[in-house]
Amino acid sequence: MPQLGYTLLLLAFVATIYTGAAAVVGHRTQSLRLVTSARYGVYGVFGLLTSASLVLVTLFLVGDYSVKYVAHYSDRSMPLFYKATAMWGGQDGSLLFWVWVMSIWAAIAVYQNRDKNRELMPYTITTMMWVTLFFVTLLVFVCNPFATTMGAAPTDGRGLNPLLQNPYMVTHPPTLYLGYIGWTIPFCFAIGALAHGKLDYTWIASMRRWCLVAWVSLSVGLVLGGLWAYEELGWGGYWAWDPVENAAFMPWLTGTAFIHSIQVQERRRIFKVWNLLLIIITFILTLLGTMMTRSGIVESVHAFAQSSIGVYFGGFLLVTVVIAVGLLLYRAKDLRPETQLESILSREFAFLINNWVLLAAAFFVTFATLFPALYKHLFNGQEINVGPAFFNLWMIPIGLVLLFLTGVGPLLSWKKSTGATVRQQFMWPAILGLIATAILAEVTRRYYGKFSPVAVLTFGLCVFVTASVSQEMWRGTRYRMKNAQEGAVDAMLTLFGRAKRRYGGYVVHFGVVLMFVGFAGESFKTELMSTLKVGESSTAGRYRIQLDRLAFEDDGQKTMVTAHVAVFDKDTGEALGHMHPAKWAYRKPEEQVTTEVDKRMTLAEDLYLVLGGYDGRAQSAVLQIKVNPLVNFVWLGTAFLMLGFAIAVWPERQKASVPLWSRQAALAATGWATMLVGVLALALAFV
Amino acid sequence: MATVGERTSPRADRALVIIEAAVAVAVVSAVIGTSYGPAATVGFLLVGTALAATVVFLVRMIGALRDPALDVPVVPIDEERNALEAEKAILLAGIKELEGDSGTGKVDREDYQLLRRAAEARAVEIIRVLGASERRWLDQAEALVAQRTGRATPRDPARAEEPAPAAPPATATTRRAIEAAHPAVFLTGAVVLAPIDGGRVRCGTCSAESDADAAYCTGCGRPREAA
Repeated sequence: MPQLGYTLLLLAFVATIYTGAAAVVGHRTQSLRLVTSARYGVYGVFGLLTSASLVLVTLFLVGDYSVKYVAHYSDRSMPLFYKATAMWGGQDGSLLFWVWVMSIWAAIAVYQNRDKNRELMPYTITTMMWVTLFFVTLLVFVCNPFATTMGAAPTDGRGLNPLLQNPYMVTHPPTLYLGYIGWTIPFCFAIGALAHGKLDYTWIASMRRWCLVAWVSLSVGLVLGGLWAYEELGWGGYWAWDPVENAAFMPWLTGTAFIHSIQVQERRRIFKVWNLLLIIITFILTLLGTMMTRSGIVESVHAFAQSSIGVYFGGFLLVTVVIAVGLLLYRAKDLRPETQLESILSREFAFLINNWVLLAAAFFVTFATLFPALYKHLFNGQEINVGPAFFNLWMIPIGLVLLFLTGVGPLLSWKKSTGATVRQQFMWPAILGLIATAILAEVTRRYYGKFSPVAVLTFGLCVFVTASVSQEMWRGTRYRMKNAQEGAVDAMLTLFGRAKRRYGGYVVHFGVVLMFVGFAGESFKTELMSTLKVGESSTAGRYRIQLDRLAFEDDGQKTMVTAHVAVFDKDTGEALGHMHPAKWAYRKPEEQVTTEVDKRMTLAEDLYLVLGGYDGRAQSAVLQIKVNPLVNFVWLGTAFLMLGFAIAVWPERQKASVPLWSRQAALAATGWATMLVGVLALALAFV
Repeated sequence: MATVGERTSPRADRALVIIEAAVAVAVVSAVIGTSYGPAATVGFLLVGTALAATVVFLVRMIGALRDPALDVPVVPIDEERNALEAEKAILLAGIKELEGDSGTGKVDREDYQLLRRAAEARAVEIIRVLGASERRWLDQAEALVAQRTGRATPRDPARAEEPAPAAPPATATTRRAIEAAHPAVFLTGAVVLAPIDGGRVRCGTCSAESDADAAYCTGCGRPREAA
C-alpha cells in the first residue's frame, strides 16, 4: 500500500506537468483536443491525489507502522476518530492534504467553467497546475508521507500529540486550509486574466463566489483556532498574536479588502489595479503563512518542527512574485480606470479607505511577526520578543477604524452623496451611538468596577454599526412595502431574496459587530490564582468556588487528576453547579501532560477554571480562576457571519438544465463502476 | 413477466443496478472485513472508488488527444457582444439599486435623475447595438436557408450587409457632458408588461421576462405603461 501511495504521487507529478503544458499549448495552437485533454487532466490530478490521500488515511486505519508517518502520529490505543484524521497531524500529511484540497478546488473550478470563459481557462488551468506542481514536487522529493522504516516495522506507533486529540483538530485545519487554498483559485483566475489580457469584469465574475467561500472558511478556521486555544491551552484567552495565528490572519485582512473592492470594479470599472494587487498579495501571504508555519523561522506552539522546507517555499514564493508582478506591469496600460472617483462622500471612497487600512494592517502584522526572525538574523542570533501588547497597541485603533467603516459603507451611495443625504443617513445611527457610549460608560463602570475607554468606544461603535445596518434594512423594507403593496415580513424576505449579496453582507457586518463586543469584554477580565484544600473556597467576580475533592483515575491511555469544584453565587449563596478542571498525563508520547479546562458559559460571561497543580497527599489544588466577560459574543458573531455568507451565496433561481447522460447510460456506468471498485478494493486489501 | 428481448422499465433497471451494487459492496466488504476492521474496510472501498474514477479521467485525458470529433473549427467568440451583455446586466442591476437608494433617501432627487439618465442612456445604446447584431445574424441565417431551399425569405438579404452601429463610448461623467450627449434618452412608446406565472411579467413587445415591480422592460428598455 505505501508503494501504491508513492506511485500515485509520482503519477500526479507527471499528470500535473502534462496538464499545465497541454492547456496553454492547446490554447495557443487552437487545438481543442489538447485543451479538452487538459481539462480531463485536472480531473485526473484530482483523482490521483484523492486516491493517494485515501491510501494514507487507510494506512492509519489499518495501523501500518512500517510507514514512518503513521508510526509517528498514531498508535494502537488512539481512538478511531483521531486515527482517521491524523493525516494532517504532521508536516508531510498536511502538505498532502493541502494539495488534495487544491486539486478538489481546481476540479470544481474547471467543471464550473467547462462551457464558458474559453479564453481564460487554459491560462487559469496552467496557473493552478503550477501551484499544484510545487506541492507535489515537495511530496515526491522532500516530504514523502509514504516513506517506510528500514528494517523491521515497529509493533506500535508513538501516538498523536494529546493536544491534537480533540474535535477541533478535526475541524480547524481543514477549514483553515479551505480558506488558504480557496484564495488560490481567484489568484489563478487573476493570473489567467493577466496572461491572456482579458482584464474586464469577466475574471472577477467567474470567481466572486469562490472569494466568499475562501473568506468565510478562513474566518471560521481562525475562530475555530481561537476556540481551540480557549478550550485546550488553558490560558483563558483565544488570541495571543502567536506567529502561526498571524500567518492565517494576514491573508484574511487583504482578502477582506478584496471582496469589498471587487464590488467597486463591478459597478464603476475602477480599482482594477487594486483588485489584482490585492488578490496577488493575498495569495503571497497564504504562501508566506504556510512557509512560516513549516520552516521553523518563527517560534510557536502551532508550528511544525524546524525543517529545510522553508527554502523551497521561499524559492517558489520569489518566482511567483516575479511572475505575478511582471504580468501586472506588462498589462499596466490595459488597467486604466474607465471612470473616476467622483466624490469623497461615496461608497467607492469608503472602500478605498477600507483597502488602505486593511492593507496597512496586513503589512504591520506581517512585519511585526517576522521582525524577531529578521532581528535574530541581522544581529548575530540576538533574540527579541514582539508580544501581544505591541500588536494590541496598533491593531486596536486599526480595528476601531474598520468597525467604524463597517457602519459608514452601507450609508453612502455609489458615485456620490450630497451633504444633506449624508446628514439624513448618519443622523440616527450617530445619535444612538453617542447615547450608547455615554450610557455604557457608566454601566460598565458600575458593573465591572472599572472604566475602559477603549471598551466603551467599541460598544458605542457597535451600536452605531447595528443602527446603520438596521436602518438600511428598515428603509429598504418600508420602500418595498410602499411600492409593491406587501406586508413587512414579505417585503423584507423579498428584499433579501432580490439582493442576497447586499443583505447577506449586512448580516455578516452584524456578526462582526457581535465579535467586537466579545473583544471589548477582554478589558473587564478578572483572574486570580488560588491554592485550596478540600472544603476551602475562593471568590472571583460574582462567584464563590469551593474545592470538594480531588479524584485520580486511569483509562489505559492516560492518568486523569480531576478537581471537583462547587460554584456558588457570592452574594446570595445560590448553588450554580459543579465544575471539573483536570490534568491528564498520557503514556504516549512520553508522559505528555495536558490541561483540561472547565467553563461555565453564559452570554454575559464565562467562569473559566484551570487546574494549575495539585498535591494528592495534602488533598489540595492550585486553581487558576478567570472570569471572561462577553467572550461568547465572539462565537455568536461567527454564527451570524456564516448565516450572512449563506444568504450572500445562495444561488439564484435557474432554469432546469438538460441532463447530460441518459438514465440508462448513467445506470450502466454505476454498475460497471461498482464492479471495478469492488475488484480494486479486494486487490488492495490482499495483494 | 419480461422475456428475453423485451424491454424492462427504467424503474426496474434502476432497482436492479442498485441491488447489484449493494450486493457487490456487501460481498467485498465481507471479504475484506474478515481480515480488517470496518473502518479499514471502508477505507479500502473508498480507495477503490477513487482509483476507478481516476482511471476514467486519465483514459479520457488520453482519449481526447485521439478524438477526431474535437477537430472542429474553433467558433470565434464574439467578445464585444459578451462584454456588452455583461455591461447591460450590470447597468440594469445598478438602475434597480439606484431606485432603491433613492427610495431610502441615500441619493437626492437631482442626483438620482442625472445618474439614472446616464445609466439608462448607456443601457439603451447597448440594447440597440445588440439588437442590430442579432438582426444581422438572423438575416444571414435566413439567406443561407433560402439558398438551400430555393425559397425566398420575407427579409431583405441586403440588410445583412448593413454595418452594426458601433458601441458608444463610456458614459461621460460631468453633468453638462451627460446632458449634451443624451438630451432625450427615454425610449418613446410604453409597453404592456403582462403578469405570468411565478410572480413575473412578460413584455408585449419583445417577450422578455422581468420582475413584477419592474418600471422598464429588461429586454427592450421601454418604460412600462401605467395601469
